Amino acid sequence: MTNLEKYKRAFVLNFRVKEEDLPGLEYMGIIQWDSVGHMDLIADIEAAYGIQMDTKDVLDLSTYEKGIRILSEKYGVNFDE
Amino acid sequence: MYFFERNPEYRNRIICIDDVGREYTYQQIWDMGDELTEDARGVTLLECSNDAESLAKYLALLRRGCPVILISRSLDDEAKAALRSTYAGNCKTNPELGLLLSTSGSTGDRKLVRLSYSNLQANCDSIVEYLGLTQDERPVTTLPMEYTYGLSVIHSHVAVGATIILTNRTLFQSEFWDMVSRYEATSMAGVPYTYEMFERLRLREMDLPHLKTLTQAGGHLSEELQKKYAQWAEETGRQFFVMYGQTEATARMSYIPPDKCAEKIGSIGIPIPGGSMTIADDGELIYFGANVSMGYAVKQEDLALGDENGGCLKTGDMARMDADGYFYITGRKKRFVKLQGKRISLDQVQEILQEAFDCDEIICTGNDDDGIKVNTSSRNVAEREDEILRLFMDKWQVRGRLVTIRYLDEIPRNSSGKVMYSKL
Repeated sequence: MTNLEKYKRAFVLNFRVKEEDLPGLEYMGIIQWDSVGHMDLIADIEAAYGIQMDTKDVLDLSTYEKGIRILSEKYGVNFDE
Repeated sequence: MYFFERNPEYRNRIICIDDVGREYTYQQIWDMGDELTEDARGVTLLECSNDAESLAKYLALLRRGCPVILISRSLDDEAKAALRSTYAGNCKTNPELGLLLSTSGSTGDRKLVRLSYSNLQANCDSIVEYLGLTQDERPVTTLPMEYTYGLSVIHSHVAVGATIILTNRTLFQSEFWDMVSRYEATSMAGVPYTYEMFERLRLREMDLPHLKTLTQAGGHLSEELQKKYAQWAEETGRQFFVMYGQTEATARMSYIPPDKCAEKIGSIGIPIPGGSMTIADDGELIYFGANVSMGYAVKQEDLALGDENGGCLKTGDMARMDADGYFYITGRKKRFVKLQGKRISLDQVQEILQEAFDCDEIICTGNDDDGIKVNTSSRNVAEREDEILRLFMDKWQVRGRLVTIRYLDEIPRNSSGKVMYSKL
């Protein structure tokens, strides 16, 4: 599985959304992505890449796109592979 | 004097600071509330969120003697309509009836707890006493106002003339933590999953010099987290309160004094001031106190009923008591689980699933720690995981990882056809 696929999977499994609905998805934008959902999402992302995210980044990961940016810039996750 | 009345001593104090940083005095909130509820008559449905307007209206409705049904602004329209058509409007109500709250996590449930003005005041007085609240407190809201625990934070701080940092922001928004710092929050309240979030955000490592008190209720906090927070509080000169309560008792029934927290891990503590607890012959925990509700309502006529409980509440929890008089919950008498701070009836979940999938062979079991197990002997149902999980999310806001779907060849039943839950 590519890094992008892992990333998408974390959203799809936690929020029960379709892959095509991921772009533009934001925290509190759907009922599933509430604070509990966020906690689960972060846990799955961390497990998928074997990383531990800083508190600041946990708070900043508030859209589908921002997560990709944070993970590639700060945690060295390569989404182009 | 009731906590919601105009107390001239508090007039010029700040009652709340809202999401945009606006400060309101007690006087302003009283005046705003009187104006906004001018036309209110009889039972009133109040859609609230954690903001100044909701607080103003709520306190004013209590002052006006209009029984309030407090619901979330985000409750779905169908559920709102159901409550409105069942209860709202002019009808005969008991003069003592002040507040009606839902107990369950189900959004469509019309069953409400009937709370009197003196229930609210009694619980408020107890809480102020055991938490040692003063006007210098500045709690930040971490729970919704319509949730009994969140509401009790508001009651008890309004009672002492304190300042509430009223926010709808969540723990995962940096603006929330900006408010905590900027307005120097002194306390936060949390249900067990709030503490999981605190951990996720490394609260114990944050630099929050003004934060002095954390409270916990709304279900069983894991012993691991209880130990961590008890230790942290001790080391940093803070107070950590583990508490127990139910909407049927307005909010709180027992607490562990913070200096005993590390010693009494796993306990629900001792009765709050003014309350007492005993264990019935069958092991059920019984609570006595002036905060025990008048009873339930399931239809409009019930709003005229008087006090059916007489200050005695059968909690539905099984318990034991240690030699020091500390109580420990050992199980449940009825089939329900407490998830994400909400009480969810397994029988009700089961019924709704059976109806939704038109199949009787769906039996729900579960516990607070592992969540709900959906057992079914229908392969068709077991394969519709997505639909089942979506239903849980929509109806009870229960997330997928708290639901396990299990396919069985057969639901275990005894010779008379009754489900043997213990075999599931």
